[in-house]
Amino acid sequence: MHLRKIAALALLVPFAAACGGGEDAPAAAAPATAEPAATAPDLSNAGGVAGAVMFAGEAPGAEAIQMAADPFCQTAHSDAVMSAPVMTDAAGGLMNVVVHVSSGLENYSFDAATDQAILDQSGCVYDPHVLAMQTGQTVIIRNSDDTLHNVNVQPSSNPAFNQGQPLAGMEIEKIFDSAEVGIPARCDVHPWMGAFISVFDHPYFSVSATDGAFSIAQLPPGDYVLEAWHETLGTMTQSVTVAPNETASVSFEFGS
Amino acid sequence: MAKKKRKGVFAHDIDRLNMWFAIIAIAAFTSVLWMIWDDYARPWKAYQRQFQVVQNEVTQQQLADEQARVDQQALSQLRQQRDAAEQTLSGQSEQIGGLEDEIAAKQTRLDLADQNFRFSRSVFDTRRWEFEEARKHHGEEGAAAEREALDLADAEVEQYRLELEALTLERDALQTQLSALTDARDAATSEITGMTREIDRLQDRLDGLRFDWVYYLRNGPFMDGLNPSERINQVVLDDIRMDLNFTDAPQVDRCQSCHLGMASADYENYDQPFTSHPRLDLFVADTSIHPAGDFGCSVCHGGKGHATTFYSSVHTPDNESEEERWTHDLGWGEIHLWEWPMRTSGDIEASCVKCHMEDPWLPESPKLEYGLELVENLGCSGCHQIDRFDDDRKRGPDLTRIGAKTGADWAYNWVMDPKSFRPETSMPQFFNLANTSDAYWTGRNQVEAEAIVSYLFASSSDVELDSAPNGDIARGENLVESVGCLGCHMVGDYSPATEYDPNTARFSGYRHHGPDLDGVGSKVSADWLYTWVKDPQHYWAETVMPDLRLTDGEAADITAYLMSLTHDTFAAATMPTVDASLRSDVALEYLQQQMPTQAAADQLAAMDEDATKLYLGERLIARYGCSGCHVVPGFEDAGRIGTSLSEWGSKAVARLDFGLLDLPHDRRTFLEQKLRSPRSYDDGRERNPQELLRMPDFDLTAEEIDAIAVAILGFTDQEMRPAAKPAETPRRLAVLEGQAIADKFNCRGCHLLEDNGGAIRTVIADEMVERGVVNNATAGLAFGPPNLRSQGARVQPAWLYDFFTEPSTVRPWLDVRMPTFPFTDHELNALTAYFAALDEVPYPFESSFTTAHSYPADLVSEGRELAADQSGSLQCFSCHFRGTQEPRVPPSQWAPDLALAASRLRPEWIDGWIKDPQGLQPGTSMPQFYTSLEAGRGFWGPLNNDPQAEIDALVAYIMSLGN
Ligand SMILES: [Cu+2]
Repeated sequence: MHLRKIAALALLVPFAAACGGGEDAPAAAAPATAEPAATAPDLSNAGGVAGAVMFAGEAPGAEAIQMAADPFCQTAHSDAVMSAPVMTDAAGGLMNVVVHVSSGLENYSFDAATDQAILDQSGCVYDPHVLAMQTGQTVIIRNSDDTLHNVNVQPSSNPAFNQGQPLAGMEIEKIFDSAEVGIPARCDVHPWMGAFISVFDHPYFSVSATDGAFSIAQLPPGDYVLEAWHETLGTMTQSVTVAPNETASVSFEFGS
Repeated sequence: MAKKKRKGVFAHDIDRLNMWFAIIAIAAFTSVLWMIWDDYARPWKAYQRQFQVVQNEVTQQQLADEQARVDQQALSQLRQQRDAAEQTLSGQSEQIGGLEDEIAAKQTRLDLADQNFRFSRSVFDTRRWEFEEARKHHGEEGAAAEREALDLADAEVEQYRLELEALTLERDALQTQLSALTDARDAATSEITGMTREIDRLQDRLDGLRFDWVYYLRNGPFMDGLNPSERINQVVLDDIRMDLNFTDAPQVDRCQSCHLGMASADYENYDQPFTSHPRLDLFVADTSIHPAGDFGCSVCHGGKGHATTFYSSVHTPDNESEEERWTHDLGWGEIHLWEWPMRTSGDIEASCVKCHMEDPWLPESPKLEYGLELVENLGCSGCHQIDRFDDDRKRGPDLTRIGAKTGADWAYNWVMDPKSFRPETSMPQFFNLANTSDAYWTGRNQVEAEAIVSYLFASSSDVELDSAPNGDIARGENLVESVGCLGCHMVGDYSPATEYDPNTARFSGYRHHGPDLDGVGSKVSADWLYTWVKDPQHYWAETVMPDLRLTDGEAADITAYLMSLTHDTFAAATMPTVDASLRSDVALEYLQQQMPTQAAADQLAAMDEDATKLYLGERLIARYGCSGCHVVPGFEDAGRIGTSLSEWGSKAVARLDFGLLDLPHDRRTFLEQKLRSPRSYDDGRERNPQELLRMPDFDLTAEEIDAIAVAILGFTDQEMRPAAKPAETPRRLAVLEGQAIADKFNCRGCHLLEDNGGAIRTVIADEMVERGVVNNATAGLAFGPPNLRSQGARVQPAWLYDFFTEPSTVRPWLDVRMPTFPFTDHELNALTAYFAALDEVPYPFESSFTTAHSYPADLVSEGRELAADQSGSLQCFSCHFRGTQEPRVPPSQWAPDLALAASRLRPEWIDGWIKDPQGLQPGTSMPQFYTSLEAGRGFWGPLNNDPQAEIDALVAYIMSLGN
């Protein structure tokens, strides 16, 4: 009975694709395909949001990570890897902030992204340190190092896992089904290794670059609340109105 | 028209008589109609009609939801497919009809051939038997005729078989032709049916919920033969009995006649009487452990289960506004004559006691559990008989050697006002209460307290104490905050004074198991403390305080630290000089209880001051029942001084003495008042000192009183049949006994046990952050005592037994240490059995694999390679100790010593643990390596990357370590 339903739905997929095929795919990072239901956003006059996240005040200095415990990690880098709770550039741009639409999208629904996100363990650090992805999207967690890593992920609304990857080149695939911001991932073998995974049920998010810049494209016109999340500085929110075919400019400033 | 005059003479006026007859007949007929109507129009029927409307609403909604859920587009596409297929078929109707006819004709011939085949087979069987018999008796020659008949029969069978085969093939061919034509339609139809099955079911249900003429006919008066849909729903419970004074009968509950939605979650948003039971996971639902069909309702809720009106079923309102509403809308009124009115929702947990009296832990009835803990920990059973706690040890410390521990000044001030020394103590207040606060009593309280203390110190025996060497206060504090003291005690930075964990229940919190230690330096002597922490049982053999195996230096440091914690006002307080003549008066009063007035006076005159104090002290200890909670010399056999509480919950309200207080007369009100102000029932009464109430004041909060009240209201005389109680399986008995022991020794002060407790873990985590060992409390948790989830499955009982007797080091990086507890042999066995029972693993443990010799050497060496600290291997010793070899990760990630596995772990547990660590211990740092056991998903070429082979090798290697 259940299988039959799934089969029936499967029959519909080409049908749905035929419906949505005429439109441009939205946000390049995570294209949302229109669903047969009327809840897919109309992107014909979509706008966007762009701006920068800044850090006001003196950022604490970065410290070299001590990797001596594992000879492999030690030799993987010629220069010491620097780490700081707050990473900024000279102009105060704050990196690794997840900016996302936290409200205003309630009437839309989105398909899972078709591309895969990647969380790499390379040279005994996570790359990227802050990962943002969509619910239902596959993330590949890869060990590029010839040493043991384990990725211990303890979310609050998604299932927890803690998987060991003893061999170089090992990959595991995971999918998060519930939206959750800032899920911590850590390696118990290398305590300095930490990453944060944020999962959204829509494609409108961006992780700020080294200069603090972020941008969210293909957003249907409307009123939204934007939230910026940082692993140590917490969250800030801001309301924004997106006009048709225009990119609204928004900036966040975190204090120390 | 003129009235016709009757002819003749009559004794009565016939017309008038007729009129009366008519009136009476009409009245009688009307009353019959009224009777019928009254009998017919039961209130529950109205509820059932209302419920049908509600059901209709809910089903409509479900139908709408289901319709929205089902992909209408897919459905209509399927329907189109089906219709198109049917269209095609209709053009081929002749062909199909022809095929169907042909198939039918074939089938007829087939059935006939099949029949012939079967008949011929039975003829063959007969012939064969005849032949065999003939050959047996007459030899091969003599059986020639039978042989011939047998061959004939065989040929016939073969002929029919061939015919059957041929016909089957022909029919199947036709069938295939037909299917080829109808396949498209059949597939679409069956898919549609699959998709709409739930919709069809709901539709059918809706059809059955209509108020049509059939409904009214079935449910009309006198139509009982038509199986009315409105009917009394009832359960008859053979194992739950209704007490009928001299006999009993099965309890009958009819509540579900009106509470129609209680068993289904569909009605949770509806009001009473239709609302869903709030805990369908536990009650009422067939899938729960207390289904309504087996337990009914009144066994927990009380009330008159077999009644069918709101009034007569003895509902009890939760509060005044509900009472008002019920009285107004539903004709509610109090029924005094029914002994068990329904319990209010605040009291409902009291009913759990009926069957779960023996359960030490009742996580699903938290208020009752709290209440029972309070009753137990406050020592109520010291004065009151309570069956459940009959075998409990005394709650307070042994006073037979008090002179070695503290001084009389301290003891006097403590007895006078315990909370002024230790705000969260469970020692209650005996003096200066509601009935002993006037000017006379202020003096008399001093006399009494002094006499009690004098008696205790005069009868105290000696104990040898080691003299405490000098210790280091800072080191002592460090030890106290890390070795494990704080699992049971509050002190210093982690005490009520600092509000470290404000939510810790003061009389039942794990960290309140032992006394709070702030100020202890003003109470005890350093020598006593030093001797005590080194070997608690030396001073008090029955104590549950364990031995932390402290070195003399550690004990000295801890002593120095604790002695530095002083309570200044208390340290300075002394015993006042009491009024000697008042003392004589009181002594005389007590003497007069025992002997004639003159003899009493003579006796008093013969006693010097010390003798008077001793005499009075002894009598007062007896009066106040000190020996209920303390071992007091001379009171070894003293009984309980209070009312029995074992069946207090069914005590008649008329037997409760409310004194002159203007209170509603019910059990709960009485209890609350008694607990809030134990002596207040003396208010306004003229009593002599001997008649006064003497229950001490525990200074309870409203929440504590509420919980205690629920527990005591649950102590009733209602006996349940064993069949209605939880089955006393060996597992249950072992678990209950283990839980009781875990409570006695406060295992949960340190360990998470059955996912509860582990109170010290956050303390240690915070302490580790403070010491800079880790940078956050979550990482600090790794330094706390282990979670004991699946402990029974994990370790070998023999190891566990030895570990309890003489703890060994499993996690070398922990400062906190497993103490040596004064377990009896029985307790040791019971605890070991408890862990095995909890995880349902065999006990005592027997396994063919406990030594390395049982594992093939090559398997062990494969395991060694696989576990090794090299690239391409699992690098187990990154985190795990191997004997004394330290792991390379930082201490917060360290994991147990694998060299202990051979004697400690169950090999099958290691296998399961490697496969799914998160499943056994959510949140563990142990990673999962094998997400699939499929061949090829492993890591080790030499074992063909076969996960199970690799895990076997790891288990073999780990079990061989340390041998
Ligand atoms: Cu790592």
